[in-house]
Amino acid sequence: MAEARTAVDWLASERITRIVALLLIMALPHMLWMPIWATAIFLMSAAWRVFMARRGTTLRPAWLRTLMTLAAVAAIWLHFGGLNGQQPGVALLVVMSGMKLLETRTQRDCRLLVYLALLMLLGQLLYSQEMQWALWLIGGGILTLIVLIDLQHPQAVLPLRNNARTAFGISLKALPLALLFFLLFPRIPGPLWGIPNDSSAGRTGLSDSMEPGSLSSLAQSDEVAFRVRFQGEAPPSRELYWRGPVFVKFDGLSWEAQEPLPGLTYSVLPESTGTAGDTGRVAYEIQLVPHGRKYIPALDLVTNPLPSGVSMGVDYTLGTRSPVVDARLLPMQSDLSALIGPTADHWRLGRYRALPSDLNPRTRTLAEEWVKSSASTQDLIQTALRYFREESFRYTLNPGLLTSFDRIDQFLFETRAGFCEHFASAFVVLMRSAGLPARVVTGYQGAENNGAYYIVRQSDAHAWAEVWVEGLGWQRVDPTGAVAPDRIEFGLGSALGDSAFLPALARGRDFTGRWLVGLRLQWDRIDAFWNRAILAFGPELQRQFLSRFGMGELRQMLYGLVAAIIIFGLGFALQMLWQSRHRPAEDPLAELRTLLLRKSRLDLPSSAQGPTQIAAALRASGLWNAESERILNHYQRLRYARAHPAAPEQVMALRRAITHWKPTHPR
Amino acid sequence: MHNPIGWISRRWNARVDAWMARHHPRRAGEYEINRKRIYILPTRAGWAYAVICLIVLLAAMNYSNSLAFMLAFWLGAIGFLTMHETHANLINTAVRLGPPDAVFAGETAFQPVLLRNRGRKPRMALKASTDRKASTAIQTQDCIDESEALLAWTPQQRGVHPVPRFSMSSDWPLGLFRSWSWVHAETYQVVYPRPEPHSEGPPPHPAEPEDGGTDQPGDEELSGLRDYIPGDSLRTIHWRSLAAHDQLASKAFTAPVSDAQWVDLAALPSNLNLEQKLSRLCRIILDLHAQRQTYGLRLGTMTISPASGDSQRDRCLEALARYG
Repeated sequence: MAEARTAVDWLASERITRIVALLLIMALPHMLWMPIWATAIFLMSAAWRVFMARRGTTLRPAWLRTLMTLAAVAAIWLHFGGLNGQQPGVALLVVMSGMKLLETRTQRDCRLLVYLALLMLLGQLLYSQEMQWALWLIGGGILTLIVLIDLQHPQAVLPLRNNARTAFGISLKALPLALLFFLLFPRIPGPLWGIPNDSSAGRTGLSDSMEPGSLSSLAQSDEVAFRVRFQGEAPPSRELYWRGPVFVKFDGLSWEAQEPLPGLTYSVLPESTGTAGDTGRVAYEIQLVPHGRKYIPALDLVTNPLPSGVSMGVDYTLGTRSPVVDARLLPMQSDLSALIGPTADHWRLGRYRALPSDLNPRTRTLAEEWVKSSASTQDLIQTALRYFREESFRYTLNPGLLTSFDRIDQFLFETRAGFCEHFASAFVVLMRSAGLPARVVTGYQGAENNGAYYIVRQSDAHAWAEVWVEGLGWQRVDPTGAVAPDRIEFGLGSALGDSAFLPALARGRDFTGRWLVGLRLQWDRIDAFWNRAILAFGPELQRQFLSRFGMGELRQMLYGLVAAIIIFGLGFALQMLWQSRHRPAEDPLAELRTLLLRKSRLDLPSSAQGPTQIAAALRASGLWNAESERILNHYQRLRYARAHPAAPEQVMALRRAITHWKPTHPR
Repeated sequence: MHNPIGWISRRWNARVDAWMARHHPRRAGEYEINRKRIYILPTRAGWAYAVICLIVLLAAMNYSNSLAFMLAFWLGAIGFLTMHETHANLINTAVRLGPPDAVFAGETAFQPVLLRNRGRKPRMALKASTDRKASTAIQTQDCIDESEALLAWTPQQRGVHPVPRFSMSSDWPLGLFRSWSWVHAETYQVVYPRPEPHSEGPPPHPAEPEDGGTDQPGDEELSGLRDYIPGDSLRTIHWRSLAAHDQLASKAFTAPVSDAQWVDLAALPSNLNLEQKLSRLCRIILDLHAQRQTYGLRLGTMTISPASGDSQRDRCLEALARYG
């Protein structure tokens, strides 16, 4: 019987509305990327449930719900090609919570929904950790608590304000302990079971393949790719080539890395990297914004020691075993004047000469002419650069589509307008046609100073070429620099001019709205601190930080945790005991007298509140009847009874009598 | 039948009951819930919450995600804090049982439980239940100074039964933990015999109704409603009008005029056993009362002289409850 009663109460539309509101808020950020039908399913279930609650109608039959649930799972499976991964996982969570909403009847159902809302919150945090999402975390957490508290009062829907006050109190009191745990809980490096492959979705970064247009779209984003702190003087902008994915295999249309990126081979650097001297050594720290990919941008050429968890691929690009989804600090050293692979085996260089046969005949012819006219490899490279510089090539974000099968031919001899990837790709094809080993390197070029550190944005994304020269190894050649020298010296904004469609922060020094840029650079400092101190708080940073307090060891952290629990446990307990300690004994009869006087609207001085005086006052105000007489007699009996204090039952009876008494006041 | 888990849990419950009987003897008067008398355990929802915290923590570790770490620790700390909150919500409250209204066997008895807050902060969502998990609780009761909760239990046999051991519990604020205290009070519940569904034949000593004082004998025919007078039985309250007008009203019955009648245990057919006889007497008394008759009761050596009205009915029914 009791259960039937509660089941009815749980249908109260106000309560359902609150739960639906919580779910809607938590699902909101996910709706931005979820397939539209998943959002629609969720929204329709929510609306339907609220409608049913308003109408007080019964729920749909169970078999229909089961059918709908299965259909939704199947749809997600088909859409994402499986259920594994962050996106299908969260989509499943959202859609299932919609389905669950439809059958929600009991307190347990409601609670499950609240827990699902917490997981949606988690999903958002895994997706982005920018500062605004920290506010989202706090707000979402408190909202969840409010609804959870709401569930505790099945009989009456309490005003939200009361619940909110309780929720705020709880969250605030719990915060210091949570912060201590944040500092002391031992962080372990690396993933526990792996990062799903779709973790790059929704994040920006260099991709695993390159085709015309892939970098120019990236260049239109002024998002921060990473931040750098140099120890000592920063190298000039033209030397800041941040190496990313390297592309070897060309099918005439797009470039692909030959093996899964990166081919992890060296965790200690290969011996074959020679050094030209100590002049180009630079030490710096990269503060990476999570990009969901496996490469780590770094200046050529990184020297030992490599940061932990990072290794170097065969193409000298740094990489990690699993996609980078955490902000991390990577201390690194590079030697800018190092020779890259000067003693490479010739038989290994074959793949850097491979070209699709039958494609781009005019390019081949041109390259063969150059070979005949050049005295040396260096001479040939210079010839090619001169070609780019002297012919009428244009550097632009909107080069127009290349449609021919012989795209390099079309670019070199017809359109002659391109972005860096066009130039790099054409240059490498020219070199390969001339029989030289060459490859395309993507990464970032340049950096913007912002006080103590430098910002590298997605708009700094760049592609250049590397050509292998006997005795010198891989030489960096940047054909874009030949066409648009400003790009290398001053950045994208200077090279493209005001007419190009570029975000404000990518425009650099020539942009007129400079004060706004200044404001955003100020903001970036805060963001940099957020990334450095909070988000990058991993194993190394934790050890560094805690060893200042002599707690750098695992054992000490664990002791610290135990101590925190004990201290806070005692603190909580003492505070609670203090709050619920006994209050001074009260005179229940005095309280009842006050109640009686209030009900009869009598205002007697405290010296004249004896039973006789009250009776007289009641008579005077026309309230004297059998009922009030009975009450007053009762009161008098208790007040002057021998047994003191009065028996609680008697007091209770008197309280009841006074409460039920309905004095009719004369108008 | 041969369910080992069921067997173990029965054995376990028996052990717990024996322990309870030793440690929580029945006591009269006010029962103060103090530190030594409070138990606290996570609820099922609390365990589920712990699993959610663990999921968040594992995700945080896998993704090295600082905000997820923060969420995990925050949720964990909140859980830890509410353990204390739940405990503090119950401590320093005093419990006393009010006088229960008599019920018929098989009916649910609503035992008033008077709560007094001896501490300084309001108590939220307290529940009275015959088990510790509050599964028979019918309401949640807040308590700022004093308030009255109801304990629902169902006595199956007539008699005067002690109110069973029950728990005052609370899972405020988040339902993750439940703190409870066992109350075993010296209060007795009068349980009338279960009335027979229909009256069988006329009362034993029928001074036949002389005139048409009753329109339809044997039926509780409502003649109207009157204002509720404190002391009216719960059964005469017209609940529907409470729901409609938010005002207590009692059912009023026509009061026919007739001579005194005698209800006698010895006059019932001998093929009935005692409980059946008492059930029939109960029905007869109820019918007579409904007809506003004057009647007396003879129960073996005990005699209740003829009278009418609520008090006469209650006196007679209580005699039935206590008989034997």
